[in-house]
Amino acid sequence: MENRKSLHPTLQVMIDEYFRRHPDAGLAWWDLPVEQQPEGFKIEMYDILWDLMHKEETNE
Amino acid sequence: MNIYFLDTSAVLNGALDKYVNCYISPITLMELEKIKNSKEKSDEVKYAARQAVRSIISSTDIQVAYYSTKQLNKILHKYSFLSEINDHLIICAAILLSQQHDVTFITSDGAQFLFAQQIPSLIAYFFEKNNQEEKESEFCGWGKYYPSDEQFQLLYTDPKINILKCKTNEFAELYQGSELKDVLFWDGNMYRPLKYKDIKNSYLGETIKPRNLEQKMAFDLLQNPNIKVKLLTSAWGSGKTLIALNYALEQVARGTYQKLVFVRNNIIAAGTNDIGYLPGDVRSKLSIFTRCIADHVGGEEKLDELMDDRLIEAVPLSHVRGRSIRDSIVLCDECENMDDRLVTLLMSRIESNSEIIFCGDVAQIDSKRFEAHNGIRSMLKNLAGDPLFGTVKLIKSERGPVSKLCDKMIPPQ
Repeated sequence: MENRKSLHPTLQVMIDEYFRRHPDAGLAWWDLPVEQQPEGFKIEMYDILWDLMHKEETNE
Repeated sequence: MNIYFLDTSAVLNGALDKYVNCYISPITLMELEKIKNSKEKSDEVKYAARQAVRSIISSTDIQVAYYSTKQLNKILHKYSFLSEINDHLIICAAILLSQQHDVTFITSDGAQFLFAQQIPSLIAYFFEKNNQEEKESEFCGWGKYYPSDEQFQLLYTDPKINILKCKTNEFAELYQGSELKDVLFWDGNMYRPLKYKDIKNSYLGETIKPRNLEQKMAFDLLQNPNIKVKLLTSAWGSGKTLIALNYALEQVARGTYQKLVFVRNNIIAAGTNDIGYLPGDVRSKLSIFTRCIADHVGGEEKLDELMDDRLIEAVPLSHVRGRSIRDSIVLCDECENMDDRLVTLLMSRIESNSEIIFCGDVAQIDSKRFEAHNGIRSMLKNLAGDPLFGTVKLIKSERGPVSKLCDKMIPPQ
């Protein structure tokens, strides 16, 4: 799978969560140009980020 | 394709509104989200973060460049001076994007700028928030735009699409990187190229040519017959009265209008003392204000002659109530010394076969009572985007080196 060395913990968690939600997505598209991101990807990633940060806040 | 990659500092400073076809890193999105909910940041910064996130999520012109940690690692490995901090990961994403596109990296952070300058595949650009511009946030008649290659092409192939979202009667300066490529005018229906002719002063046998880009836009605005209320604002000595006056004289000489009506609010310069009552009739009392016209028609005798022939009329603002100004070109100079009520009073006198040109500079207001509800500011706020209204702010002083020194004394607004 990915190089698991996490440069940015939150980013890595977001990526992992995306692939958990879309197990069939495949990793190949990560290497494609940004314009070829799947439809709705930007908004879904923001949803993941929002959930993640909201959870962090609740934990705090 | 040329694209713009904005870091968090640039986004917070409002760069998203200035550039079309922007990319940001997901790290920026995270930082903005954190700022939104931060207890330490000021309300102003939190507001900027909220606005930015809203734009990023809703706009199809703004992309978030997600890259795998594997790809980011490769870049960190290649550029040893970059480390695993957020700022550098943002630069890494820009570098990855530069493998497919020409990327201009926009930042408002000095250190980020210096790092980005070290990357050969990036063009680093320091984005400065123009506080004054934000304070005024007023329509100045023209704007700087940074369209993508595709949008640039579309402006010419399909000029009826307002792709830059310009206001009606706005000039759009089109940049690629820091290079000015073209200037277009959005007339409310389509984009067209800048269009103007030199102004001819038949009294002096002179031809007036624009000396800089803003003056070219002012020529275009003045010569636009569809715009009936024209406002020229400017810094010291940038030529607004000279251009407007010569244009108005040209129109009268050509017979487009029967006469030039010159209007001024007879306010004396701030800090000076009134010289007291002047002898004579209205014309001779106003002669101290009409000398600027005399300079452009060949002297006071010629001006008297033109006034006798009713080709030029000088009217104190206090005398316009009740008038109906027909078939005339009205020039209202020093209009910074007017509040919105006085501007309305004058505009309400203009009939459909006339036009009015206002010239003024809010930096030169001579009386405190015109600071609040200032006429120029009110026009810019309320008339911007109206098909009958157009404005150009001149920014370069053309009078001479001494006039330019004024900017050092009182910075232009």
